[in-house]
Parts: sequence; C-alpha cells; structure tokens
Amino acid sequence: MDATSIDLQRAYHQMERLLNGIAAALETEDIPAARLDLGKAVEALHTAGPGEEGPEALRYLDHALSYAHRVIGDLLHEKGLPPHSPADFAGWYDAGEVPFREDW
Amino acid sequence: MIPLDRYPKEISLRDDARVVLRPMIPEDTDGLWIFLRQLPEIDKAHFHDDVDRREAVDRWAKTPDYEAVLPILAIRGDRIVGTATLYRNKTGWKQRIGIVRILIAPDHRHLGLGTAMIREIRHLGEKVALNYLMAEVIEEQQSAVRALERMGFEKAVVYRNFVNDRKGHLHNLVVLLHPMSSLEKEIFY
Repeated sequence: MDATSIDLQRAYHQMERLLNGIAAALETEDIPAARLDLGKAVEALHTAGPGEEGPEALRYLDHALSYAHRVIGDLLHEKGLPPHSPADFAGWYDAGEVPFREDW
Repeated sequence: MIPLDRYPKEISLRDDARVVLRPMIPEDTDGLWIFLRQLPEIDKAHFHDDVDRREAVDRWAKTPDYEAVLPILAIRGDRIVGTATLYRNKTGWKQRIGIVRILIAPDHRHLGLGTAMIREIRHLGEKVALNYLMAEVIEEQQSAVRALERMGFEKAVVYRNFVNDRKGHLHNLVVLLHPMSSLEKEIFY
C-alpha cells in the first residue's frame, strides 16, 4: 500500500482524535482489559510518531487501530450493543477489500 | 471472591438477537444436556468426563464451585447457545493462571458470540487479578484460534500430534496465552 507523508500525518492525527474520544468514553467504565488495550494503542501511536514516514510508521498506526477496535468492542459489549463489524463499513474504506471479518 | 454482580448481563449478537449471560446454576442441567448433545465431536474432545452420559452432565451442573470452575452460560430465550468456563486453581503455582474453554452452538457461530464470551472471561480474569489466561484449542478449530488471537491471545506453542479425540485420532494442540494487566503491573514495579 502506498501512503504519502501527508497521508500518514493525517492518519496519525485522526487516530489521536479517535483514541482521545475512546479514552473519554472509558473514563466512566470499569473495563480493565479495555484500559490496557487503550494504553497499547496510545503506545503504538506514539511509536508511529506524527512526523514519521515509511512502512514502519504505517505498521504502528495499524497496530494502534487494531487495539482501538478491541476497546470499541469492549465498550459495545459492556453496553449490550451488537459487536462492531469493520466489514459493515467497507464502503468507507479506500481499499480493495476489508481484510477482517467476524469468524466466531 | 469472583465478582458476579454484573449478571445477568444482556448482550446483542450480529443478527440483533438478545442473549443473556449468567453463571450456570443447578437448574440448568436439562438445558446444558441439550446444548452438549448438539455440539460436534471435536468440540467435546477436551472434556474429562464423557458428556454423552447424562450422569456426567448432572454431576457437573449440580455441584458448582465458582471459585474453581465458573461456567458462564449464553441463553437465547430459554435455550443455552454457548458456554464460557474459567477454570482456576485455588492454591499453588498456577493460581494466577486461568484456563478458558468456550463452546458455541453450531447455529450461533459467526454472530460474534464466541468473541463476546472471550471478552466476558477476559473481564472476569482481570477482576480476580489473574496474570494469564490460557486457552487450549485443537488446531482444526481455526475460527476459535483467530478469535482468540484477535482478542489478545498469543500462540505460545503448538504440540504436534499431541491430543486424541474420542475416536483416538491424534490432533495438534495450540496453546494460547493472554497476559493480563496485573502481570504487566508486577513486571513494571
């Protein structure tokens, strides 16, 4: 996948906003596993860095997104809502196919 | 004591069906028997008792000891459609390792129930300050392996031709571990 430095910067800041939003939602919840995953997401985001380029930065942003999805899943589960399915949002992705689905 | 005040807990599946999660009680014996009867052979391979015998199921359901074995049931209407069991040692060197076993009815797979059950056990494991959750899965159960990995379990080892099913055929056993937050705190401090 090709990503320009502007793409990466944009993704970094979008991710930062997403994680801040998740952190605010988690503040009132007692979900220790989700807090742990949020910490890992933030760590991955910081490793990617706002000005970093190349496949490593992209990989860490991807890690941050994966951890963020897990936290969102935990929040939905705690509230009794249906699980988040990335495939439901396939039309929004700028990608040939969404590479994950619910298996179990 | 393991905190059970979150139960009964209602969740939604991908098809919007509502499912109630709660610990198993002795009155669940009939429902559990029906649930176990519909599972494929491979899913029953790990049981220490022959769960095709009603008396084995009766014994399991009628003597709950949640501090050692905590079965959480997923109930849709009046039917059990999944179980997630957390096994713990009360003493000894493995007392902070929880063993996880999850069973999902064949007609309730791919709806997110297996993943929801993993979330539930992970939550309970955090609440009782376990250091690790451990899951043992036969390698053919790839959906379960993928779901566990997506939820933070990591393959620790694969034992080749290690376990046998109830017909005596050998299978590879995948052992997955999930480090918990209490472990990270202990290592850090």
